Amino acid sequence: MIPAKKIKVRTRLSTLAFTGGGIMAKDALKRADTAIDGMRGPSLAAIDEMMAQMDARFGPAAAGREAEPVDDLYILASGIISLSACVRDSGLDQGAKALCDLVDLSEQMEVWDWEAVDVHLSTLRMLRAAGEAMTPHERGAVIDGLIKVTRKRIGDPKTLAQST
Amino acid sequence: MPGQVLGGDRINLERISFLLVDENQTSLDITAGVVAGFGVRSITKCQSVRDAKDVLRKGNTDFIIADAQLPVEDGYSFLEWVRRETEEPTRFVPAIIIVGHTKMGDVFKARDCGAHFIVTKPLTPRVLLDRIFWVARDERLFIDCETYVGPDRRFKRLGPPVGTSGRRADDLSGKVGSAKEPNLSQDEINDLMRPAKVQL
Repeated sequence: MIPAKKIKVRTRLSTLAFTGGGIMAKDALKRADTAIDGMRGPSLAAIDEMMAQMDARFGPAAAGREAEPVDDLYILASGIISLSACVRDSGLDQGAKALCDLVDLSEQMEVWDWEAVDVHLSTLRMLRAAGEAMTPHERGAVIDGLIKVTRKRIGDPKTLAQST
Repeated sequence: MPGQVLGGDRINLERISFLLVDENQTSLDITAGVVAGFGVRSITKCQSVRDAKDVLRKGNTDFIIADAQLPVEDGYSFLEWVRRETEEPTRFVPAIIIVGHTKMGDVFKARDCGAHFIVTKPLTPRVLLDRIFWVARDERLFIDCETYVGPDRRFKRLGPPVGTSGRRADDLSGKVGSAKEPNLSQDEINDLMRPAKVQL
């Protein structure tokens, strides 16, 4: 076995980041927040498009949804998480994460439950429409509900972790 | 370990070139907006690993922020390529992987890809700036071995897990042995606490 090499590295970032000049962290954060706020419109449009795709391909009214690759549902849900930086107080990111957890766990447990998917999709629609008007407590209760659905219909991830 | 960035801290990223890799154009624009807010002037945006590799081959990249979920080749594999296949200094470039959700099967890939940090989405400026500060102040050694190339992952230095003797030559035993020197007297302790006049 070849022994590991340990290398001391000085990057340009380390060299230049504290050379004076630049901006204060609080100003940097303010400017970055403004940039995110400026992306709210395009982000919401992209989220709506993804949710429409989810409904069309994986929703209760989608004919032949059983034939759709479930990985695409995972990718769409993950995309919603990425874009929800500008709607953090809607719970949309957590709802989409719950859907990712559902798909991932379903694949691991080799169990699929369309009703659980339907509940997640309708909850995402609800969070998109009214999540920002809800209190954190209410949003938390909604997300807890999704986690319970997954545990009841698919299983507990802890049992999977123990069995592997 | 470097701590959280404070509002009064200054950072100068004007001359640091960032490479951002994300398949989704809107998500890419969000990250670019955040990074530009931090004062970065040179930002290269790529929507595929192929384009990102071309950029890296040309050199002059100082920081990589890549999405884990990319088509054809994911962000973890891309970063492994950076660590194993590129020349210095590119192979040592600080890198953050951003991820919307990590599948259970991808946890080890995330751990082993050679990233300085894995940051979860949705991206917040506070978390990203904290991590950039952290990496800038980071003095971790780079490890190059058969199974891993990247910054030392064992940076917390909390000692070996309880009940094991550890694998590092300088790992200390978890057992507290008997004292080698006599205990300090109360006067000696008081002396340590006594306010002293210092010349600044």
